[in-house]
Amino acid sequence: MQYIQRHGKHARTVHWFHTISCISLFITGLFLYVPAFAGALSVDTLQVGRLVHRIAAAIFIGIPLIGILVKPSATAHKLKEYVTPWTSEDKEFMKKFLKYMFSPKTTHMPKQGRVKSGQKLADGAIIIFSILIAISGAFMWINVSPALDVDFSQGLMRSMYFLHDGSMIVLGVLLIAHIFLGGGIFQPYRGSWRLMFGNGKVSVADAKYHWGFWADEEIKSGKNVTEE
Amino acid sequence: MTNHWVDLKNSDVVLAIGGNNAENHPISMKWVTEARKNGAKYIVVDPRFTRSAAVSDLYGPLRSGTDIAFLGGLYNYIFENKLYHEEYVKNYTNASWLVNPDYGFDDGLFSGYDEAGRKYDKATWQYDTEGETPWDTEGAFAWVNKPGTPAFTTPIGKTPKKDETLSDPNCVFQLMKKHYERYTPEIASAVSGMPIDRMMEIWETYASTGQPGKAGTIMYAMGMTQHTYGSQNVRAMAVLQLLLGNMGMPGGGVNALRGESNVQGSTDMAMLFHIIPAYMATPNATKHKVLRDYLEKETPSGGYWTNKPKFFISLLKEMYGDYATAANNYAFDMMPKLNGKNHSHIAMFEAMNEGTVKGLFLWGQNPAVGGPNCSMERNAMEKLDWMVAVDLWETETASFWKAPTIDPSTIDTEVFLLPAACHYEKQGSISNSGRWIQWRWKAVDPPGDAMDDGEICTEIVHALKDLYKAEGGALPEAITELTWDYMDENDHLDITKLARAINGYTVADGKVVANFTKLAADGSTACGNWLFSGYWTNEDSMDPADQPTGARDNTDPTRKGLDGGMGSHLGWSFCWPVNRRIIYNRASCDPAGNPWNPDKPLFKWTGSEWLSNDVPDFGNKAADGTETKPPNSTAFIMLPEGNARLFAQGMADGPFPEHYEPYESPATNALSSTQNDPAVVVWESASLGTKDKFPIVMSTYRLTEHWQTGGMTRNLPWLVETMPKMFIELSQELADDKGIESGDSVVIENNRGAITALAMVTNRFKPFTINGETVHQVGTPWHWSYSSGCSIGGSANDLTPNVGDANTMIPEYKAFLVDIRKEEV
Amino acid sequence: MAEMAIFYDSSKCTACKGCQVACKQWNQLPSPLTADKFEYTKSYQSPLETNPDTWVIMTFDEVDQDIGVEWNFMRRACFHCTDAACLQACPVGAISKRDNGAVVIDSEKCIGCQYCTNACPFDIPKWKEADNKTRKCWLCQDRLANGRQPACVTTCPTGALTFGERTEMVATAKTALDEAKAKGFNDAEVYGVDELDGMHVLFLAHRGLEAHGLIRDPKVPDMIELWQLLKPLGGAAFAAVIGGLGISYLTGIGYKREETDESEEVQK
Repeated sequence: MQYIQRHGKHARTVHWFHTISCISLFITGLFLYVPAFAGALSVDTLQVGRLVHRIAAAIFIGIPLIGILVKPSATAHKLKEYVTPWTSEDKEFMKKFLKYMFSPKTTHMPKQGRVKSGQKLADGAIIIFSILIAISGAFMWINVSPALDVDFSQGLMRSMYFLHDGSMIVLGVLLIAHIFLGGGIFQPYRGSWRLMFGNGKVSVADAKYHWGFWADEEIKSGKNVTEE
Repeated sequence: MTNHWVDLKNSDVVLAIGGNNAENHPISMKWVTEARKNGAKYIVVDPRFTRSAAVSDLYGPLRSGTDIAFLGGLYNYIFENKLYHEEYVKNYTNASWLVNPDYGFDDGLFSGYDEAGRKYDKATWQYDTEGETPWDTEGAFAWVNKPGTPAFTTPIGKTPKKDETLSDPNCVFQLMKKHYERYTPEIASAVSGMPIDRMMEIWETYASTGQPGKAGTIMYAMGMTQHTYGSQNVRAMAVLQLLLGNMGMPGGGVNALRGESNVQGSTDMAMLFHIIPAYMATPNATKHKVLRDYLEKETPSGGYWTNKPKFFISLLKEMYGDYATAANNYAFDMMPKLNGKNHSHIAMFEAMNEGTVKGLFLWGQNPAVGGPNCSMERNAMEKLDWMVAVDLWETETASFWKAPTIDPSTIDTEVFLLPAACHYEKQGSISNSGRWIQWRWKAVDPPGDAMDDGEICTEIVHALKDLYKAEGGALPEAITELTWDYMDENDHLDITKLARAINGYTVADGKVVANFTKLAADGSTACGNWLFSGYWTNEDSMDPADQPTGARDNTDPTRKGLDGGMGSHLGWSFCWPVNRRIIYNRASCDPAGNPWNPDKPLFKWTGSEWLSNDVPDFGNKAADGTETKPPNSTAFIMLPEGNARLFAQGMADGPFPEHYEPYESPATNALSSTQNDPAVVVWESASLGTKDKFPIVMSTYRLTEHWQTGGMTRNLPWLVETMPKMFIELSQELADDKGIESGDSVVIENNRGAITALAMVTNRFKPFTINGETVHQVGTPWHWSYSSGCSIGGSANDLTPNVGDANTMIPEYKAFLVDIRKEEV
Repeated sequence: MAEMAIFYDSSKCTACKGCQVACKQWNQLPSPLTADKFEYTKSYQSPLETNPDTWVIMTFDEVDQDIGVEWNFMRRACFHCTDAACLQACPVGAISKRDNGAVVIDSEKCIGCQYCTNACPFDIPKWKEADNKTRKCWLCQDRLANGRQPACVTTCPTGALTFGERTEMVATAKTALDEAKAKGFNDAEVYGVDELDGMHVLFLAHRGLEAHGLIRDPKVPDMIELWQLLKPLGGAAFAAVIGGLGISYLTGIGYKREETDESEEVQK
C-alpha cells in the first residue's frame, strides 16, 4: 500500500505532550471543580493535584512556545493553513457536517484541502481558548503564589475564574469531539489515531477520502509518498 | 466614689469631665446606657474628642487645666438663674454659716497669705462662732472614761453663727456668690477655649439637675486630679453637686474613676505616705510626740470622726497584739512616724537625688515611666545603694540602667527583681471605685518563682524579725513585736486570717466584730482597717464565700418596704462603710424625710418608720431601737459641721476653688493676676519652661488597649496588635503648620526632655482660641517606654513636670508645654 | 438549633475592641510576637483589616464637625449571609452553612485556593500563607454547641452586642432603630435583615450605612453568579456532546467506506 507522510516528528511530539498534559489538566482540574469529587480526596492529595495541574499547564503552554521559538517559520507555515480563504467545498462541508455526523452512510462530503474547514474552526477555537485559559490560569496561579507578592483585585480575579472555567468548558467539548473524530471512534475516521500517535503516515486511500485536494498534490509530487 | 457604678443608671444627666470613662472603664458605659434608656443625657468635657465623646449627647472641648474656669462659670450661671436646689443648700450645706469678718479674697489671693513661705495662715478662714460645745463625757462620749482608754483632753467644738436667710454678706452663700461674679460666660469661654454656645448648652443641661428630684452625676479621673490645683478641681465638682442638690442622691454624687483595679483598696489600706489604714493621718514625730498628742490633734470636735481614737487604738492593738497595752500607750512609740519632711513621690525622688534616701522598694510600680519628669527620676535612681523591684515583668525601673541616656558603668546600685504573682494567681480582696470590696479567688498557680506580694512581704518580715531577735538594734520591738500570725500550717501567708484581722475582733475571745460601731478605744478590740469592718463577719467559716466580701447575690430587692431596683445590690460584696452603697444618703430626702425623687427613693419616712433601699447614713434608730424622727437631718456625718462644705478651711490653697493657670501655660490668668496656685512647692528640677519656646499645650492620657506604664500590655501581642505604636494626636491645623502628616515621626520636646512619636493627625483635636489667641493642644498616651517586649517607644513622662498639687503633691501631668517638629530623617 | 444572629448596635458601641481581642483569645489566634512585625496604622483602627488570624476588627470613621467630629464605629467581621458568595465559590465544598445560620470554612478541607476571598462582596475571608488556609469568623460554633454565646458577645461590656434567635434579633434591631430615630438620629438604618437573603449578623447603624462603612444593597457579585452558572451549563454541554457523539457513533456502525461510490469524485 502507498502511504503519505502527513505529520512530521515535530508535530507528533508536540501532540504527545499536549495529549498527556491536556488530559492531566482536565483530570486534576475536575477535582478542583466538582466539590463532590474533591470531597473524596484528602487535602494533601488535592494539593498534589494542584501542583500537577500547574506543571501540566507549564508543559501545555511551554511546548508550543518552544516550538515557536525554535522553528518560527514552521509555526508560521502551519498557522497559514488555517487562514486560507474558504472555498465552496469548505462551505459545503460545513453545511453537510451535522447530517454527516448522524448519517455518514447517506452523506457524501466534498473534497477538502490539507485542513478541513471544520477542523479550521475547531483548531482555531482550541488555540484561542487555550490562550485564554492559559492567561487566566496564570493570573490565578500568580495570585496565590507565596513567592510572588502580588495582590490582584477581587474584580479581576472573578473575571479570571469565569474565563478559566468558561474556556475549560469550550475546550472540553472540543476535546471530546476531537478524540471522537481524531481518534477514529467515529467510524468513517477509523484508524486516524495513527496519524499523531503512530508514524504520521496516512494511506493514499484515506488521504483521498479525507483531504482530496491535498492527496492529489502529494501524489503528484511524490515527495512524501512511501510504499509499505 | 460617693455613689457607685450601678447607680449611674439612676442619673438624669451624666457628666464626664477630666475623665474618659468609655475608654478607660468600658463597663461604666453599660450603666450610662441604662440611664440613657430612661432619657438621661451624657455630656463629655475633654480637650480631645475621645471615644466617650463619640457616644455622648453633648461634647465640650476645653483646654487642659481650665476646669475651674468652666465650673466657676457654671456656679455663676446657677446663681444668676437661681438654679440651685435652695432647700437642699439651706439644710445640707454650710451655706448659712458665717465666716470670720476678716476673711477676704483679692486678685487671686485669699486672706492670710505668706509669700515667703508660700503658705496660708488660715485664721481668717475660720467660722464666726459664738459659744462652745465640749464633749458630753457623761453621755454620748462616756467611752473616753472607760478603763483602758488613753487619757487625752477632749476637743471643744465652737458653735458657728448662721444666717438661715442666706443674706448676711459674711455667710458662706453670699461670699461664694460674690467670689464667682468674675466668672462670666465670656471669661469662662475665653479662658477654657470652649465655644460659648456649646458651653451654655452644657451648663443649661447640667444645671437642670438642680431641680428637686433630678440627679446629675459627675465621673472624673486624672484629668481633674493631676494638676497643681487638682484637689481644688475635685472640690469644685463637689461644690457643684452641693449647689444642685446631687450629693447623697441616687444617680448623683462625685464619682472618681479609680485608675487601677485596686487603687481604691490601696488607698483604703493607706499605701500613701501621709495616711494609715482607713484615712487616718500618719503620726508625725514632731506633731505627735506621744499618743496623747495624736489623739488630741487628730480627733475633731464633732462628726463621726470623733470616734477616731477607737479606730486608732484598735489599729494599734492589731499591729502589736499583746505587746500593746494601756501602760505603753498601745505601742504608739513603736509606730513609724513622719519626720516632717515632704516625702511624697516628687519629693522622694528629690531626696534620692540628694542622697538622703538610699534604698527603694517598688511594689508593682514603674516610676521610670510613670513618674513626672521621669528621666530625672531615672537619674535619681542611679544614686541609690539598693533597689528592690517586685513586678510581673522586668520593667524600665527594674532595668533603669538600660535607659537610653544612662551609662551603666557609673552606677553602683544593687538591684533585686522579685517576680510577683498577678491578680488571678493569688486570692484576696479588691475595692472597686464604688467602694465595693469584692473577694477574688485564685485561678492558677504563679509561674516559676513568682510569689504573691503578701508572701514576699511575709518572708521579709520574718527575716527582719529573726535578725532583730538575733542582733538587736535600734527599737527592735517595733519589728519583733509586730503581729504577724497570719500563717497557715505550711508556714505560708494565709490571707483569710489577715482578712479576718482587718475586719476586727474582740481581743478577749478573738471573735470577729460585726462592724466598726463595735470598736473601742480601751484596748478590748483590734482592727486592721475600721472601714473594712463588716466585710468578714462569719465567725464559723474561714471561706471567703461565706463572708460578706464573698457574697454574690446579684438581685436588687428593697432593704425595707420600698420597691427595689435602685441598684444597691446589698447582697453583692461588702461596700464600705457598713455596706452603705451611697454615702451622705440622708440628703436624698428633704428634712421631713420625703425623697426628693419619689420615683427613685433611697429612703422614706412614713410617719413612724424609715423605709429604705440602702444602709442609712444617718442615725435612723436611737439606742433603744426606736426610729428617729425627721428632721434628724445631719446628712454629712463625717464633718464636724454635720453639713457639707461649700466653703472649706481644710484646703491648703483656698476655701473656694479659684482658677489658676497650670505652671506651664500658654496664657496669662484672666481671672486674677495671680498666675499660678500660690501654695505649691516648686523644685528647680522641674525645669519649667515658657510659651515663647514651647507654645503648645500637651496632655497625656490612657488608652483602652494598654495599661499604665505598659509592662503588662506591651508584653501581650494580642493587645499590642490593637494599638502597636506610641503616637501623638494633633490637629490638622497644627499638622499643616508644621508640615507633618500622619505616620511621620515627630519630635516632642521641652526643657525636661525630648521624645519621638508617630503622628496621628486628626480633627478630634482642634485649635483653641484662648483670650483671643490661637493655642494648640496635642496629646500622647503614656504607656510606652524603652523596654518590654513587643512594643517600645517614647516615654511621655520624660516631658511632664514634677510640680505637684498644693494639697496632695500629685504631679501636673495633664497640662504642660512643648514644641513639636517633624523628625529629620 | 434555630437560626441565630448577632445584633450590633453602633449607638452603644465605644470601640473598646474587647470583641476583637476576645475572639482571638477564644480561638487562640496568634498575633505577631516581635516589635518589628507590628505596623502603625495611623488610626485607632488596628489592624486595619481582617486577616487570617484576626476575624473581628473595629473600624473607625471620622466625619469632621464644627465642634469635635462624628466618630462612627463598626464591628467588621463575617456577616454569615444566607446567600453566601464564598460558599458558592469554594471548589472543594469546604464551606458550608449550619442550621444556626453560620457560614463555616472547614479548615480540614480548605486547599487555600482563595476563591472565597475573591468572591466575598465584603472581602472578609483572608488567606494565610504559612499554612495555606483561609479563615474567618465561624460564629463560635463550639461555644454555641455548649449553650454559650459567641466570645465577642459575651465580652462586650456595654451591651452593644447581643445574640439570640434571629427572629428575635430582627425585632430587637427594629426597636433599636425606633429608639435611635426618637433620639434624633434621623439617618439611622438597620442592616442585615434582607441583604443577601438575610444575614446572621444584624446591625443598627445609627448614622446611616455609609457613615459606618457598610455597603448598601450588597449582592453576590454578578461575575460569581455567572461563573457558577457555568457549572450546570458546562455539565449540560458535556452531556450534550457526549450524548450527541454517542448517537453519532451508533449511526456510524457498519459504515464501510469501500462501499461508497468513489466514482462520485470523478463525476465531480
